[in-house]
Amino acid sequence: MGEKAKGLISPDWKQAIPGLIVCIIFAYLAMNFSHTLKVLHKDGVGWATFLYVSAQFKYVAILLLGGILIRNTVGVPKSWMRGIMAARPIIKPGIILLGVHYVWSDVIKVGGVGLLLTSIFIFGTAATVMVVSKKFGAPDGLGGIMAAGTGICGVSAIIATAPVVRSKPRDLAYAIGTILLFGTVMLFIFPYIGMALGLAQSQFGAWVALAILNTAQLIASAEWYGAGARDTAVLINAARIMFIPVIVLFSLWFYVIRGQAANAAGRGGDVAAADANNAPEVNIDKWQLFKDKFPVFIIGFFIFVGLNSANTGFFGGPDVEGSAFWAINNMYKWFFAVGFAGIGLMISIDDLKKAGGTAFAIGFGAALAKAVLGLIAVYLIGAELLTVVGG
Amino acid sequence: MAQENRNPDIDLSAKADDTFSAERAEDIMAILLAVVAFLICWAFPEQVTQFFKSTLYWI
Repeated sequence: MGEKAKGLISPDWKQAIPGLIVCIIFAYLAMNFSHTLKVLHKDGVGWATFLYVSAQFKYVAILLLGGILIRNTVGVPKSWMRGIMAARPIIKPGIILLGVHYVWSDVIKVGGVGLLLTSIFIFGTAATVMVVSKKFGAPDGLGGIMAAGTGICGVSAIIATAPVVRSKPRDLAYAIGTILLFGTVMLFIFPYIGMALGLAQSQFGAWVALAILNTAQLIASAEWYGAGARDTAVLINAARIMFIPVIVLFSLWFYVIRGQAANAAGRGGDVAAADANNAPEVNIDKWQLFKDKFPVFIIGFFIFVGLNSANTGFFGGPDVEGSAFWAINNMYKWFFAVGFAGIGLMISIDDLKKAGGTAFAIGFGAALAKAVLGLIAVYLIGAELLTVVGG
Repeated sequence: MAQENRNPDIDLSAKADDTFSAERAEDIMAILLAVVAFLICWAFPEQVTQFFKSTLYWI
């Protein structure tokens, strides 16, 4: 568990080049197609207005739907897969650079609400899934990874938690399949639900940040809805992903430490102690575990928020023409586009079909409950408190 | 299934370590990329804006 990054550059980096180039070209074409639709719509061309405004066929939709279509019809050569996988994390520098959109007052106001909401939703979902899984006799290995997966951050949290709660590989495959399925379905239907319900940009951004389990997918969905939704979603997601190490520690406590403590106290009839009797002794450095699971890139995002908030004039601002932050404001979308190309081309219907078993039932219940409760929460909070003002 | 029963913990721990090692590397690379992008934007703001706002588009 205590491993550090083995190297910044993967030894097989050359294998990533073809797929990465494909994603860059795909992003280039989609951005241009979207831009052309926008120009034609402004010129009053009817079909362009239908596609761009009514159907919301913007670069996000083109990349995601186009990627899925390509991957699942003509297919993608194996030699491209390494690069396509490498394209998805290119969203991360985009998120860091997006820090120039915010000031500390946004972080305190929206981030504070986000922190409160995410902590309630993360621990509420995780604890509920753990308790329900125990009640219905699901193995700890499955309950633990589904709690982490549905509570916080999808696949990353599942993989982080799997060895801690000793999951079986089959449960792991089911859980990942289920989380991928829900993330993909929600990513596409949420923008249309949001529009049908008339959700404000900021409310939609908060809702997807609570309900969609994967950073890349929720940012894609929010960006699809609009810039205001994206700004709120990114900030609330920043609060959320900082909980990944906490939820891994929570799983460790719920499934392992609690049981061992009960066992040591000699309460043989206790359920937790019974679990511990079947478990090998675990000795994990909790601080190291916390550090290993912390998403460090988010520090970069907050550094840019700090620089923008300092308002020194040295770097300007996103609206100050000719300044560094103004240039960044025109650049970050291209990072997102390459990342979204990677997401679209990664979605395989065969992988989604792996969703199944008890994981599906648990995942469906938790994801649906979280989405509905999240929607109620953002309605009650209102748009104003969730709106990023920027500066 | 037989393979599963042998010792699934070892495989999963290794998988988790590899994944998070890769994620940590991804995070650090993301920060480095953002810093490089920032420095370029700082040095050539007009050119960067021109490139990403106009040059890359057909129309």
